[in-house]
Amino acid sequence: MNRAERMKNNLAAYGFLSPWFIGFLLFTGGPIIASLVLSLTRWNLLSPPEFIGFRNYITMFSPGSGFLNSLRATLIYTVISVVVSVTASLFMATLLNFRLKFMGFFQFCFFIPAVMPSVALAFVFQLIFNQHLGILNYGLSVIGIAAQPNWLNDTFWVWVSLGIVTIFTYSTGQMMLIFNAAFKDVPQHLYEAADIEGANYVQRFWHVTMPYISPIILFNVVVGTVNSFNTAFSIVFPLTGGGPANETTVLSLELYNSAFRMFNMGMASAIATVLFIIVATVGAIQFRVSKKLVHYD
Amino acid sequence: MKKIFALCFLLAVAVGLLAACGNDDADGPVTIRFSMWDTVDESASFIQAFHAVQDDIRIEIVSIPEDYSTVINTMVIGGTAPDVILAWEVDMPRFAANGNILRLNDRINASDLVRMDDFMAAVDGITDVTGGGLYGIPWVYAGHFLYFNKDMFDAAGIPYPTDNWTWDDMAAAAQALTIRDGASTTQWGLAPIDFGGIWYSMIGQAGDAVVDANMNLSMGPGLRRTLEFMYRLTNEYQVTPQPGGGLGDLFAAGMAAMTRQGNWFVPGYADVPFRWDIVPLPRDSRAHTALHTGFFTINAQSDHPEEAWTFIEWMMSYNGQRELSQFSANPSAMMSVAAQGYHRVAGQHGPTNWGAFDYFNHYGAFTFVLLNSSVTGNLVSQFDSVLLGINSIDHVINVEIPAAQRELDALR
Amino acid sequence: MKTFPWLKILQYSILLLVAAFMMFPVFWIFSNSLRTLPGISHFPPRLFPETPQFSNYVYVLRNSNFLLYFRNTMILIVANTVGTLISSSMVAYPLAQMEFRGRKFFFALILATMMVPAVTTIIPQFIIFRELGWLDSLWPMIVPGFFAFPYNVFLFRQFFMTIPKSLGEAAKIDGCNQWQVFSIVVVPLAKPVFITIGVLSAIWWWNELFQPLIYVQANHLRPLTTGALAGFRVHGSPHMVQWNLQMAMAMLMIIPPMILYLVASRYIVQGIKATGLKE
Repeated sequence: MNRAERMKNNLAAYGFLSPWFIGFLLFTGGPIIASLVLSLTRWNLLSPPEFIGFRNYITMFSPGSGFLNSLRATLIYTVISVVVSVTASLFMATLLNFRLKFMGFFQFCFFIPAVMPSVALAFVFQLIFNQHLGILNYGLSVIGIAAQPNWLNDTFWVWVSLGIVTIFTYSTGQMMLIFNAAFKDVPQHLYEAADIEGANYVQRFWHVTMPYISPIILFNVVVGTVNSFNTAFSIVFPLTGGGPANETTVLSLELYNSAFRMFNMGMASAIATVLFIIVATVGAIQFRVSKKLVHYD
Repeated sequence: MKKIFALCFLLAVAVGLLAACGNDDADGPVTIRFSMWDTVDESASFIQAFHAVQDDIRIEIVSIPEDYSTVINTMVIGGTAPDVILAWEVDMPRFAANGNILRLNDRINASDLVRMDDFMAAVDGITDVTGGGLYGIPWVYAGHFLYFNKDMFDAAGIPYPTDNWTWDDMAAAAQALTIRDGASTTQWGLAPIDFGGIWYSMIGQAGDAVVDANMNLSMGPGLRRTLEFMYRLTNEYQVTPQPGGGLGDLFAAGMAAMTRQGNWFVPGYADVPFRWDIVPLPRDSRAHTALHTGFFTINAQSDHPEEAWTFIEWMMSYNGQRELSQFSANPSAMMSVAAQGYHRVAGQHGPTNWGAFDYFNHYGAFTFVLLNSSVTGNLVSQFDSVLLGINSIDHVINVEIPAAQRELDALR
Repeated sequence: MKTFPWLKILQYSILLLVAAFMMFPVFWIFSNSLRTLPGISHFPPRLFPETPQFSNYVYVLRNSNFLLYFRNTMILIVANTVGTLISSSMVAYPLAQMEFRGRKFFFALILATMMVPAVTTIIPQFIIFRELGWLDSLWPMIVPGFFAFPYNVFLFRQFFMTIPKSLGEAAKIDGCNQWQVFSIVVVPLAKPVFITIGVLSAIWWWNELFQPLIYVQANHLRPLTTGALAGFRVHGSPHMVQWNLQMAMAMLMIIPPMILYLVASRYIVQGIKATGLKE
């Protein structure tokens, strides 16, 4: 290729890339910078914005602020959702690898809740978790458990509730399919060798399957962590609304509240900026990890 | 692949056709969009009545079932608000100050139908927000009642509540009316507070102003008394369930002997199978109910302000006020119309104590409705957290109330 | 390996137990959708109502805005799917099939933007759409779809990498330009990934809650998710829900994704696997 041809080739490539580039400027890169600027203002969208320096950040990091509370809630939610998603999906993927008939049917049953709208999921779990009339507490009373939790209105049990609901979310279903595919990639002869050595089911799992899929587990943990920032809102908002008493007000919910309920755009932009920094940090870690695991080129 | 593209194409065409159906006719009557909270549509009696006297204007209701103030604010910000906004007490002055709604003085002065000298005192006090500028006219007003199930009182053999009941009277009756079957409660003396406004009524009854003249929170000793009282009822006497435990209205379901709700619940209980009645909310250190209203306002960006005014003018006329009172079961803020009692929408088994409405005039005040509804709504979840044993009363008073005040300050 | 029937029985019982657990929310939605409103609060709860109220579905379809919400959701799905298929495949093509300056950089940047949560950019976007006068319309949720969604670019790119470059070079010798190589050679070979991304995009927009919550206030423009969130309130008491109707609507909302899975499970599974695995 000569210079002119290379030039033409580059231009053609940039032409193909242009939709993404415009989208990036308007909807991702530009807004991130704009958020940074807006976070230094006070603006309710009705009267003109007012420059207030770092006051939003000072408020955010003062003790007892809604932001610090939501940081805590986000941390708890992220840990719970990642641990539950990975464990549940690994378990179900193991089951789907039984060499039996009707596995398509079982995969259907395991995966269908994942494609349910989260609002539908939240509605039905409000019924299931109801303290006095819900089926879950009724079930507990039938098996003789007298102290039945007030699932969605207790600062401890609400996290357990969110953990249970996580089993039915898209991220769990997604991970299940990824694990399932990974299991099928484990070379058959390793299992045969293990059988010859007389390994039982558990030993086979730990010594043959596990080493093979541990990078996938790590991958799912990191991807799940980043995804949890996106999924938290769609589950928490319809299920608990951030309650009881702001216990489950995760960052995205706090941002939604201050931007679109209080119309405090400056404060909300400050939250967005900090959230972006957190995600960028986690993302950088993810990128390092996945670089080792996944060969993109 | 071809099939899938064909399917996509068909869908796109179908969607396009459906989307095209919404265009309105340019020659027909002017359509005025009117926003209201709750689930309402054009079949509502007051809209029908307006359409019956007006051929040139059609009303299209923008019904906003939940989070009304937030949604209206978003619409005003986005420039998509309807022509006539029924604005909340907290929003009307805000919209007026920012030029989002029209000044109505000239129109009101020129009108033969709207009389501004007839409003009840409390409503009058919050209508003029800018010292002479009138931006909204109160549609009707409302307060809170104690509703009670007469059959349950009779079965327990205790006397009915009176207009002069105190908190202690209510607590004693709730204890007598609660029926337990082993560990589970089959009949509650008192339904939980389903409507957050009741909390603010109670705080006022216990002596706090709730809101001071500068629109700051003013809650302290009264809030403490209220939280202590509700905590006792919920967790010590166990005569009222913890918040968030029910799936519906325990009173209507015949599972609670008393409930506290807005007066607009009267028609909602029209068909319950038991006998019931209303009394003013019990008093503590004073008798009090929080009041509610809403203001007819005209969007400054409306293309049809004259038609919008025609609608408002009729709604504020005697006939319009009669229709609104009958529709909403709320009394007109105009004393002469309210005296006619059009808001008395009786059900099969109650109520009969219509005199209970009088205490709105004597003891009612606009309090928490003058503040941002997200802030006051969040505080209610903090009050609930005390009953759930999550937060202490001290925490709510010393941490959450100042935090809420800071949020209000940030909104100024 | 010898298989004893008891092992199979044990395995099947575990599978059935987990399947029942996972399907329970679906069953419970269905069961509650057939109750009366007092029946929802009946205690002890019955697994299934004695007299199923199929009229709840009739009510939801006739007397609520369900069909209107459904139409809005379909508009979002069709527009976004068309938009993302065109734009994302275009963007992915040079990343997989061409050599140019900055290829690695752009690909890394696209990967990085995959991770940016939607909430961090929503406020400036809201302000942009407000300036454009697009609030309270579906445009803020349709137009960005035509500017390539990073996640879909990634999926397309992974698939395009499997197409030998020699095919494109042969076409170029025959006189094709890059656009023709893309549209005539690569796109027809990539049918499965188009279907996969179309299906995943449809599922995603069927479930999307956050954007419509912010951009759409008018009732007649709501999609199903926010429509369900605001729907079926008891008159005079907006915080009380008519649960039986709510559940009927929820049931109607989970049937289409179920059917989509039954029809296209192969593509869904492939698409999801592609995100998690080595090439």
